[in-house]
Amino acid sequence: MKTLKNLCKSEEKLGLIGIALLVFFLIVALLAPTIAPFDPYERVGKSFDTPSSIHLLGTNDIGQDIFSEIIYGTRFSLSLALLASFIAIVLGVLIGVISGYFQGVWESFFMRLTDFILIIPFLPLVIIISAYFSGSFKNLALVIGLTAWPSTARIIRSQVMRIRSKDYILNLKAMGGRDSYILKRHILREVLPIIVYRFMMMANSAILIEASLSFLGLGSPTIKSWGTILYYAQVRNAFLTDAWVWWILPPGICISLLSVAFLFSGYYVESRLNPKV
Amino acid sequence: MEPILKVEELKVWYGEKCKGDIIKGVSFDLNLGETLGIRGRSGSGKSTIAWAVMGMMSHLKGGMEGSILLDGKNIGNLTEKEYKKVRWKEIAIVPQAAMNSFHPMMKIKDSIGEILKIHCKITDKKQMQDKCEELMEIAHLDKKVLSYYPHKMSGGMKQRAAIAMALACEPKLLILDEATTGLDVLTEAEVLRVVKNLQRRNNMSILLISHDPRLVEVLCDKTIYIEEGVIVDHSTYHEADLLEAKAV
Amino acid sequence: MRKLFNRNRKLYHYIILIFLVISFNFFLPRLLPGNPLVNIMGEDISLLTMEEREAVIERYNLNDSIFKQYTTYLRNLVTLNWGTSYSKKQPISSVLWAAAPWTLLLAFSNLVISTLIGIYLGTKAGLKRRKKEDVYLLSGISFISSMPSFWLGMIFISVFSVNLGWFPIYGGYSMWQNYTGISKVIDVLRHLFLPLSTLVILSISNIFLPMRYALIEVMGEDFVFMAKAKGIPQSIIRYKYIVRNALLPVFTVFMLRVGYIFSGSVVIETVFAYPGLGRIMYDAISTRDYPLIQYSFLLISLMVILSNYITDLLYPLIDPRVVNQHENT
Repeated sequence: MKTLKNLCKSEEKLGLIGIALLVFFLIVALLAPTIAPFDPYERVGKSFDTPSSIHLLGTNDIGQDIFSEIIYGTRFSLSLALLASFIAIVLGVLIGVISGYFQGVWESFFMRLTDFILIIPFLPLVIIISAYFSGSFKNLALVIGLTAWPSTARIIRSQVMRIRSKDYILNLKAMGGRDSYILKRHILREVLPIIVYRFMMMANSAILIEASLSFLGLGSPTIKSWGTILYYAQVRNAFLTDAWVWWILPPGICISLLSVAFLFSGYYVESRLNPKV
Repeated sequence: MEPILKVEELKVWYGEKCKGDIIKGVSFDLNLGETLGIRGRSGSGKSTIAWAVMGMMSHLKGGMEGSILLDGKNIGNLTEKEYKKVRWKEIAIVPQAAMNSFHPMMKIKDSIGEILKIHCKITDKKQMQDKCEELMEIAHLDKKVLSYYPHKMSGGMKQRAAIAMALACEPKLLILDEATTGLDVLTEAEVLRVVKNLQRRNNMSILLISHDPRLVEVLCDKTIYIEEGVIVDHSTYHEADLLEAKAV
Repeated sequence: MRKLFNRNRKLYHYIILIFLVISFNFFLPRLLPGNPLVNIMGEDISLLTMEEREAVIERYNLNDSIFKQYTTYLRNLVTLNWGTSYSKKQPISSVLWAAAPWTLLLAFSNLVISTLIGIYLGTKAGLKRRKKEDVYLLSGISFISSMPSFWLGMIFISVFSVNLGWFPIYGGYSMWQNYTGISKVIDVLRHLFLPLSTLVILSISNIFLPMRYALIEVMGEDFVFMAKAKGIPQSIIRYKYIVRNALLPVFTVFMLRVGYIFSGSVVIETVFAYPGLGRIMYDAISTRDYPLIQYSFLLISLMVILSNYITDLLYPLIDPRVVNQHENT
């Protein structure tokens, strides 16, 4: 029994670590101009400078302060992850609920569509679409959001189908409860924890996808994001020199930490959701 | 006559002991070839007694205390390893959830064969097939059911297959935990007839757990009625039944 | 008879999917906003002379009706007449055929190895539920899976290739050596090691998490409890009852994963300059060689659909009930 308590604690701990990390990055993003010692878009030193008390993580190929770049990168990466997952979740929930609750023609149409998108290799799909658009913030969020919804739609659909066949929902329907009322008051409320969980999972992968896209040169070359910092580090072959320690390690660690923060918060929601797991 | 099963001051709990007992000191005994009915409402702890006798409390995250004598030997304090030899060879159970008690990816003959192999040391294919077919006959099932997967079988078929499985090693004691609940009346009668015949043939003792007073009246030599973990009555019909009958 | 029909129905399903992907590939550049000429040929269009421009329009029948263009596209596709990549100055089909085996090698070795490790660790964690080992495995693997793949690859190159000199820095084989026989195999494996390890490390969680979850679910099932009541030995319960049944849902995850295996290789091949399809796609993106992007996308998609079809056919091997159903109907 003692171990059981420990376990609850350890899962709660993971969740707390996740939430603490999220709050930390949120603060960094909000206060970026105050925290960052330099303007990341300005030349403030000589090129390829090694770390010093002035430039904590050295400078990049055109003499911009890498530490400030990372601080500002938090803004882009965090807000992009949130917006992209928001789009994906809204679409996924909408389509999942419609096909799960109303069924009929829409269900088969949407499920065919989900099957289709799910079978296309995800990253290549995102790449080919991004290749036709400029990598602005809005476009990246849209591309990721518009391609990442199907898995959520699947899960929400099966949950809604399970809930709608529950006795009390059938009773409500028999008593003449309007669909919009049942959907809003009961079904959405029941699937809400799953939506939150899926949101965390989406954000977790959105961060990694954004980083990959920026790294492949499909992001905006002028915006500071963690992915673009790594893109330039790769282009300038930083990983073949000592610079990898201060140029490549820190942004990658930030990406991993922010991404795992969402994952751990997701586990926390999940453990609350399903006591068995 | 020495009873085959003698339970004394049985206390059972789930979770931690301090949280309170589900069974609060129950004693009863069952003679060879006889049937004891255990009755009570749902949640009264009837099934818990069955699992305690099977030595399964540690798997249910609970514990027990008191003595359970099977054929004069205390099995209440056996280790898990020792208990593995008692289970199914000496005591077998048809559980309440018999429907879900089969390995979903094993054919019935493989499920039964596994038990024969482990407990009865039957490894010969022919011998095993014969035994399986014999069990099917006893449970009034067609031989071809042996090659079915559980998901293809109806509830009644699974229930009877569960009985066949329980009888595989010809146990001294058979526990039927609501074994016929959910069956239609005809199937229920059929199953009970099978069990009764077997009892006569093998001189087997039965612990029959049921909420249904009719069943207990027909089948049992003795009855106990459990309420909130203690025995409150030894008669077949408890006052609660009479009240219910009036209400209807 | 029924069995035949079922198998065929699956086949039809996949043929429709292939058709959809092929059509999607055709319509995407033509339906997007902007000049289709630019979308099809890339931004270098402004550098082309008038004659070259005419030739491109001629090649893709851009002046014809969309239907005519479509049928021409289909005909060229089937006859492998995929045009020329202007960035590589080679026929697109030969560029892609040369690259495909490398991607297949990388992706399938990753699929097999990461699945086996994922199942092993997932089993370990799931059976040790509520113990420290489980929590460590869960948090450790989650953290690893949250690392960007290209970043881990870069770090591996810095540490193992540049600083320690254990492995080659880039490529799929030594270009300046003429190895033959066994030394050639060793050379290819040495080049494969780092990109493969990166992919494997990052892919484990995809099987580990579902395996662990499925195991915990199965452990709570009635039939497992009953197996204990039946006095069946612990080891048989573990493997024949719990793990065997947990593998079913994991296999469906595996089937979905087959579709993702080529995703990871795009990025990893870029980092390690591995000569596969992903690297080709990256080169095509950086030169905005749209026809090459499109056809590499098409080829990757077709490989995914094919792999999915194969795993679909394998499903009855995992779940005997499927076969049994057909036999009885």
